[in-house]
Amino acid sequence: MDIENRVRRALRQGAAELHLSGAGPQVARERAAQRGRRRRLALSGSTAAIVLVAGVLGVSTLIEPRLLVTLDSPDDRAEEVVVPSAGPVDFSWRRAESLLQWPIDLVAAGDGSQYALSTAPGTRSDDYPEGAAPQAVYRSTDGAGWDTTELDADLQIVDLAERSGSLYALSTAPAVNGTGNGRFGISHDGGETWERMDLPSQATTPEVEAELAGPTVRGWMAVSDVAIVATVETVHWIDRSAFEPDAQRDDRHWNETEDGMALVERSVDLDCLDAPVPEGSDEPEARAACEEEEIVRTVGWEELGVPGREDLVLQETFVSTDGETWERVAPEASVYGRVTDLVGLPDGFVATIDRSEGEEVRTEMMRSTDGVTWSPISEPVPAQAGLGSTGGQLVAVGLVPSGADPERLTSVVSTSDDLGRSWSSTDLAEVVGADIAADQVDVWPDNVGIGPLGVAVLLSEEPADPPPGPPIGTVGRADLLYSPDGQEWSITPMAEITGDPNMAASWIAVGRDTITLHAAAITDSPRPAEVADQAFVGTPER
Amino acid sequence: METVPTQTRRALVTDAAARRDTVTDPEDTAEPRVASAQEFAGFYREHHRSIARALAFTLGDTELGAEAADEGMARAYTRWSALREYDRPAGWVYRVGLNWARSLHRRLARRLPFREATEVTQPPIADPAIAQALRDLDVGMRAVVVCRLLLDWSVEDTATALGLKPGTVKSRLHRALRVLENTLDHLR
Repeated sequence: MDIENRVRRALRQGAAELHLSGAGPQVARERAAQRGRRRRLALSGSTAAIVLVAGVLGVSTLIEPRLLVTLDSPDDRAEEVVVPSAGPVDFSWRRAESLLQWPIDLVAAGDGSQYALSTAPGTRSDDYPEGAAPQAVYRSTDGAGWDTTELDADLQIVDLAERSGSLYALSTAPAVNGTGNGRFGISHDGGETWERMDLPSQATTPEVEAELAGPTVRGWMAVSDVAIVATVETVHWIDRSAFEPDAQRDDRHWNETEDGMALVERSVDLDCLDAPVPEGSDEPEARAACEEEEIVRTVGWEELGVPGREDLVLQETFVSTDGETWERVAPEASVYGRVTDLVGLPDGFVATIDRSEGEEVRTEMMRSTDGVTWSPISEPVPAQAGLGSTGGQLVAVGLVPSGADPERLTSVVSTSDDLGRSWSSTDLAEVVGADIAADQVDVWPDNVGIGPLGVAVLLSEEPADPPPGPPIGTVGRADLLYSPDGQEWSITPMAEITGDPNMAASWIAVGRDTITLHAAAITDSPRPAEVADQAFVGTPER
Repeated sequence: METVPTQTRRALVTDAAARRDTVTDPEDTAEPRVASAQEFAGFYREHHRSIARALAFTLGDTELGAEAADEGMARAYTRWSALREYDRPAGWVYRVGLNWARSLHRRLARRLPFREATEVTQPPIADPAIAQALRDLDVGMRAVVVCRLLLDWSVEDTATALGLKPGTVKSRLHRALRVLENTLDHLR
């Protein structure tokens, strides 16, 4: 049999065994309704503490992939319009069409300019499924128009920072010397040219008996007045395709656990799936109830030939005072656990860490004054939506169960002037006067920007039980909240800034002098590519 | 099936939108909405399963393929008024689902590599050699193989679905089959 027919036959035989009946067109319509709300966090039912199921933060920041188009700024931008807010600060807003659709990182520089890291103009990360899409650094002096510097392929930056006119970049590419992971770059000319150096990583392939896949490398970087910190995590995992292939069936899969690996068998009751959902029942829930998962076998790490799960993960922290000479911090003293955010302040650093405890993942915070010695912050605050610095103040934005109704969620902004030793927190539902309990709504921080000018949060109210049908062309109530210090807040309805109730922001950048909103229209039909998104640049009225 | 050229398709989309926009009688808007919802339901029932299977094999992940198909269908629903004019809306759903899954995969891998590593359910392919060989292909080649050999789409329909030129589809399939053949020789 020739290869084409052999593959065709294998695929069709496999397809015949694959039972994917789908949840039905009604569920598709409801999913479309949920997508209309842009960002969602799927929290577990726990109300006792901030417990994040692994993957939540990743899901919360997933955005529909869009074509990255950077257009030249038109000279004839719209006039500035002062939009009064409810609060002490009004902004004048002007519209621009220049655009940066999905920046990987946004940095406010000390001279008032802003830097953004994204894919190179005209390129889409979708076209590079294995990563390594061409990158560029974008610089703006007014928050609207962006000058572009395309980067060499070897940089592959994952984090960007600025200090005293120099740009710092962390790359998780393998070191040139062939060992370890992590490279660092410094640019003194806005990203045009770079000096590169390898971080003193000791990452190697673990010497274990099991066949491994990977590694995957992630990194974070932050800058204080006296030091630069970079954390790099290198992860290997068991190669499941090589691990007991006979045990794998279409209804079984292996999961890694704290103790080793577990073979999970999934069963689906097809009669249950085909049965009509009782009126008034939640269809996705009813369909989910038709499936069951059961652990049929476990294999311990020792049996796998791996001493323990920690042997597959290497977390390294590096510190430098000048960006050129780097020291690898002793692991027992460094920031340990899976870093999910890292921010630099003039007097030190704060990191959020995900720490696994059995099946649960708990988020913690750590602080350091020098990047070398870290200690836990005894009372961490929620920071799922953002962690940043206004220059002198640490700011965290997150979600918590509402005090008015623990079944509902509200957004909280917390600020600290002492590296997280003490916090001042504000419930944003109270700021906007949302009656969570009576109206049965959740108050979401859809977008957050933190920078020298302060903190900006795009807040929306979402009903706990959305009405059926897609909210095509409609957006829930959305307000832009701004505060220079987390204490006094100014509220401006988003529709009054954009002039269009059907626009939703996709990112916010807070610079030294301006706030930039990048917004797109929500429509029910394909939007022609030549219709660009909009940027709205706000300047506080003084 | 002859593919409608892109310009003609755009005109159809524009016409459909124009027709909808010029309807002013509320009674007239109710009928098309109901008919449109029923039409979408029919499209869903006819195509969802095959698209989900195709995505499962393309992505090498049954659960992700099912999720991607659901996502593609949800997006198709919001655009149904225009999409129904396409000569192969299933191709659009497949592509949107594939792009969504690949984007999801990259974002999760960037933040949570453990999650990526622990949740892959491979679709069933009884021939283990073929299964291994397909896994070794990159997603772009696998997509062409699945569209042509599993879904039986023509070169033109596959090109439209994947946003490629027909010549690229032919050459990519040819290359994929050669790679598969070499891999199978190696596995023997």
